[in-house]
Amino acid sequence: MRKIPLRAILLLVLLAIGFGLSAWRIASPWWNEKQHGITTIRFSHWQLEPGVRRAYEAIIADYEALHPEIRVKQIAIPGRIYRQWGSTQLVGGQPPDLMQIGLGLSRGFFFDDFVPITSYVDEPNPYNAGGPLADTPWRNTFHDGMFGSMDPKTMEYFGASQFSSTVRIFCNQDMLKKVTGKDTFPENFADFLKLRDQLQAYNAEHNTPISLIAGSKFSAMILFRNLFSTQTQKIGSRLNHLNDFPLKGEYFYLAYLDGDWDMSDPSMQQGARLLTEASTLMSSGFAQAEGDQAHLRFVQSHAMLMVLGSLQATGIIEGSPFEVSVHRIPQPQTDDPEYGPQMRGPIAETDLITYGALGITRSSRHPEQALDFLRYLTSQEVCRKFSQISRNLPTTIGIEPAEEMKPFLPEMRGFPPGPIFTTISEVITLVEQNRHLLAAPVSSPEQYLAALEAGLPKAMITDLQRIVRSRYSAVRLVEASIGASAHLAADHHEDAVIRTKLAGQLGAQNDIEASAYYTRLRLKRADRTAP
Amino acid sequence: MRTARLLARWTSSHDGHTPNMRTVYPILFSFALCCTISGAESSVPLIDSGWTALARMDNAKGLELFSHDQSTRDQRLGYALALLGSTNDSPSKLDPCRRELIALREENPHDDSGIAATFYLARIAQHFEGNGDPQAAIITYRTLLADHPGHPLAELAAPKLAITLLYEDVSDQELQTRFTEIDSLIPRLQHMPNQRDTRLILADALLRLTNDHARAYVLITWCLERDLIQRASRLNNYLLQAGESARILGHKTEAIAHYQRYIKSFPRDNKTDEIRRRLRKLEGGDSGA
Repeated sequence: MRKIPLRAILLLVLLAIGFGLSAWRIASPWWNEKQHGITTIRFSHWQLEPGVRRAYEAIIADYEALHPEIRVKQIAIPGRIYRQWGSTQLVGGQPPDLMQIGLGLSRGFFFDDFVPITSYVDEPNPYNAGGPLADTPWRNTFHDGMFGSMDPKTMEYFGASQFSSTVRIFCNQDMLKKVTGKDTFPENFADFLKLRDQLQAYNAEHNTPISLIAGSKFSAMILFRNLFSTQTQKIGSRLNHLNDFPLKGEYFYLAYLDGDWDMSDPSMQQGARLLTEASTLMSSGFAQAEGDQAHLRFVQSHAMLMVLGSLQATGIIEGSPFEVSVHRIPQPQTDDPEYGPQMRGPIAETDLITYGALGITRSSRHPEQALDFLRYLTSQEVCRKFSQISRNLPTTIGIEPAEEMKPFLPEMRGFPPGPIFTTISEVITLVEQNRHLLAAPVSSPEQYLAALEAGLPKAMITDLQRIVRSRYSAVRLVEASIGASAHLAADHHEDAVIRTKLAGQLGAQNDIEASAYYTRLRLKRADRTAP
Repeated sequence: MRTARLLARWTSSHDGHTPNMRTVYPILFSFALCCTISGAESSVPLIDSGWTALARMDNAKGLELFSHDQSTRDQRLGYALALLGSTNDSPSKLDPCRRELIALREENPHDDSGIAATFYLARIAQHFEGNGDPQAAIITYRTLLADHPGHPLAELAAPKLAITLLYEDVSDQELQTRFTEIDSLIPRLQHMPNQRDTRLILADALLRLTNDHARAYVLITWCLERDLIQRASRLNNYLLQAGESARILGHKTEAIAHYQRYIKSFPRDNKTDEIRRRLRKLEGGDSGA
């Protein structure tokens, strides 16, 4: 008898186990459904922050108790592979019933893979029944009116979100006390610079290399955008012929191409000086550093401060071996002799905008149940529980956040921010390519502005043309859908939902189309008058 | 023993020593694929008709459903629209779409399907062709509005005509003529979304191109008074614009009313604090600025 090679047996056993597990994974929801009438819905997300999965587990247990015929499974996938993983699921035709939308999933064409829920967002959420939001349309139960779940290309709502984030400075409170002898954090930019000087003196005295801010690409972007927008408040008001504030980057660029402002404007001069000063606050090499490097510097006490979003707060506060306090980025004051003259006042933050909505996939086998679970997740009481366990800012109105999260609430008193250069891709690239001119050893606002001036017209035109093309594309994308809605509205005169949807689609398409034509006209005229 | 022999034969290559994975893998893979496909095919669609599919932007499903039945002009229009919706992924579908629409128009340009076909041929000329032909679209829009007054589909041409005419690079005199043409069109429109959008497009163009607050203000307030602006981002924009135009025109009481409505509608917007300051200033108090 021929002997069977052991290696072959092992391989076969492994294969059989692997295959069995795969088959069981595929078949078990189906088997449960067929045999026990149990439906399994799955949802995927990339929120690996501590607390989020715990919160979901608790909420799932509640939901399953309420609906014994439903089982819910969460699938947490790291953000860096979420797009690849999600795309594979979508292409394979077996995606989870609900997927968190974002990180480049569906290449931004959500309607290819997700079912619009626009027709439901104006109805009350049934899970809010009996509470203060019982009669409030689902859309209006969110702080941002579900703005973050709407696809600007099509004006359709593709999901509902439980996530929003604000950016703050995290401070090593022990180190602050050690360096300054006090525990008060600077409230304005002038005091921020004083803190930098105090830290330098401390470093010299104790021979330590502590940086003020653990610098990274992310922290530089946030800090620079925030500070620069204080210096363009007045020019923003001056250029704002349409009285729509804050002035949109698009109109800021068009005004530049029309010759309404240039780099000699005091706002640009002071803005560049302010950024040069801001560069001295960050650890060297900030322009190349990633967020996790900055994180490490901070928790190892190699930097006193760190710029981060509220979602990471729990991890930082729980994981740091020192007391952490949370603050807004200090801004110049209007009486600041150098940076005050271009300002109107402290900048008001926008309300909590949601992101990463959970959307119902087109291939979902249980779209009705997925919608029901989505409504449950975003109802007021469940959102309260989610916020308490996950330490996330609540996305639903009428919920008090956890005490330690209150410093993350947006400060809505203040003035509109001025326009910034970081709205669209070519201009962003130009700004980032020249950012090193602001930092040591160059530290030259003049060189920075000269470099921008040389490249801005071409970059702005490219970006504006891209905006126009993208709007035309959006107009084309919804044409057939509007035609179908018009047909359905004609057939169902009495159906208010269909009529409302059609009116909304028409309005959105007309607005987008008119904006595309207007920008194209302004570009044409700017091109004609260009030297 | 017999099983062991079978297993050995199955897992061994012809030389009798190494596993013959070229045989095992394809079998297992095909089986897994069958399971996956059968699972995917058991999806329960939410969609009951091609029109519903298209309205939900599921062009593939719409195309599939309309392909099965083109017995009526209505169904053929649906099929043409499904083809139009699919051109984003498959540009080659534009030709059959155009052919179907031309056929529908030529058979009968006066019924609902014929009017819709005419409208969508203009949209194709304007936005789907290589360089676009706005002049052809303008002619068609004018014809639709003249030949089918009050028809809901023909009226869709009104805001489109306004956009195409008003944002062309023309002289100031010609622009005024075009403003007048669109202005005179509005009273004839019978469907609210078309009334609203044509008014707002005209108002925007008056403000953007000539800074004419007086004419724009009347158009915007007509829509606001009737609660025709529902989308939050749009209402936000026009309430602010109405308040500002009223302030600039010296209509203090009206400006105050628009600002108050803004604050009530958007209590947590990043513009609200600024609006409060402007309101205080209008009411004679300290703006705080």
